[in-house]
Amino acid sequence: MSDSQSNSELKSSVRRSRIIAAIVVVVLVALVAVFASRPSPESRQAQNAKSALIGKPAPQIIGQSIAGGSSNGQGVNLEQLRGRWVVVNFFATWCQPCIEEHPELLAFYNLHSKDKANGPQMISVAYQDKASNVADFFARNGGEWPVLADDSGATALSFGARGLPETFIVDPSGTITGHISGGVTVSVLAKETQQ
Amino acid sequence: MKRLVWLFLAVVVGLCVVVASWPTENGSDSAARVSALSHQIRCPTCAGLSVAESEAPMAVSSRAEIATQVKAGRSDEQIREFFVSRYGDSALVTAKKEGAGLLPWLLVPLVVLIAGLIVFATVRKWRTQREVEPQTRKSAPQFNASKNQQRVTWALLLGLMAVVVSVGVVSSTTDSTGGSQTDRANRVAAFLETAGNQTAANKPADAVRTYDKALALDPSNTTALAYKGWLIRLAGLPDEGLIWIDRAIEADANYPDARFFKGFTMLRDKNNPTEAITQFDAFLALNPPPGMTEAVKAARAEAVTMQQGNQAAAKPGS
Repeated sequence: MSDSQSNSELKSSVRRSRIIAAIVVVVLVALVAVFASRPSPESRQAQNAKSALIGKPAPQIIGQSIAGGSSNGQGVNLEQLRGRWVVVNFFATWCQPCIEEHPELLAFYNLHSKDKANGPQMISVAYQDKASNVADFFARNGGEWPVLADDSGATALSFGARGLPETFIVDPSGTITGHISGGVTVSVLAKETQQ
Repeated sequence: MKRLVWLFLAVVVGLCVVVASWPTENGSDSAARVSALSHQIRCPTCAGLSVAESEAPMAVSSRAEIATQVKAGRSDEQIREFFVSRYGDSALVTAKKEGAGLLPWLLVPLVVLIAGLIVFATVRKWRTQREVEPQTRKSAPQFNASKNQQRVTWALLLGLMAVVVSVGVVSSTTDSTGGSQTDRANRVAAFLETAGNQTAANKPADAVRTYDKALALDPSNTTALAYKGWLIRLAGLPDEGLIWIDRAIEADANYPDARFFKGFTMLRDKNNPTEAITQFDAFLALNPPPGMTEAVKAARAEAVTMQQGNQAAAKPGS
């Protein structure tokens, strides 16, 4: 074998090795990208905590109030409340934190009771609860805002609710701007409805 | 000609695979669609279970919603999108094969293709060299043998790498995106059902062993963790039982049964009404089955009484 042949073979071998090395690097980088793009349990939990509906139009709510003092029997249509902030609260009378949360909702309602036409509108949604229990609860604890029944859980699902209590804030344009998992407070509601 | 035959066969086999794996939405009836979709949608309040595998209220509501939407004539994709738009991509048991979710599925065939091309090119070059340069090979047998050996080694290494990468990618996707998660979930669900039957048949030791089998497949399965802990607690070992119940709560703080078990263990075995009240409150906030609510409310009231009694006893002079 001549020197030129040997050099040519050597160059060819080196070139091939470089190509293979490049392929190996590309594959390894892709593999790292795949593992890096896997959602960690923490990120999945964070994703769970944040509503996917933030910044999106609120699902429609239509129904007749089953409690809420003077609001009892009143028709509710979320779309017709455009121009006002709306607080949509999912609760149940069998949910202890919901019971503990109620005075805060009541205080927030009373804060805006003088401006019923333009102030924030509250809507409670009773998740899988007896209508009689809900009516008793509002009669006992107060609250003059409309309360809708959600026996099937369809309304809770349409809002992407996960547990109780859970509150969604709908801005005057009908967009969901806030989501609170767990009990709310007057200050949180005031802050969320004054953006 | 021979190559054309092989190519034709490859195309036929490929088409068969594609046709066999193509979803047949239009041909299936409503009940089958509801069932299939229920296995694809993740339960919003349970860890790692589809709505078909859970009896949590939100899972029951989800199944009803799927049935309603199927009846209303919505397509499978529209129904999946309904849940994804509300709960994010985690609403699907199998991640959508688009965007970043597509990467693993593209990578495996890509790696296999590259490795195949390299092996094909190496073998072809090897053959050509043997046919065209017999004299050269004879004159330098050692060099060529070594070179061919090198090529084969590279080809084998790449093939091996393709297999390793494929296995790695598939195993990485099975946890979060892959279809095999459903198979595993089905096996875990079967173990959980068996364990439930063993518990009902008053065979707690067998049930604990079956829960262990479920945990071997899914170490953070909240049902297996919580119920194993509860059975151990019932066997008279509350401290050891609490270890497993705590693991269940750690895996999913929103799993009501674990809160229920911990509340009762803290109240009855550990004389800790404060912690029991915390657990009962957490339980009541998690859409518990109505049948369990009254029992927990009564136990909570008992814990409050015990707490007041403890506080009164702790007061100086009392």
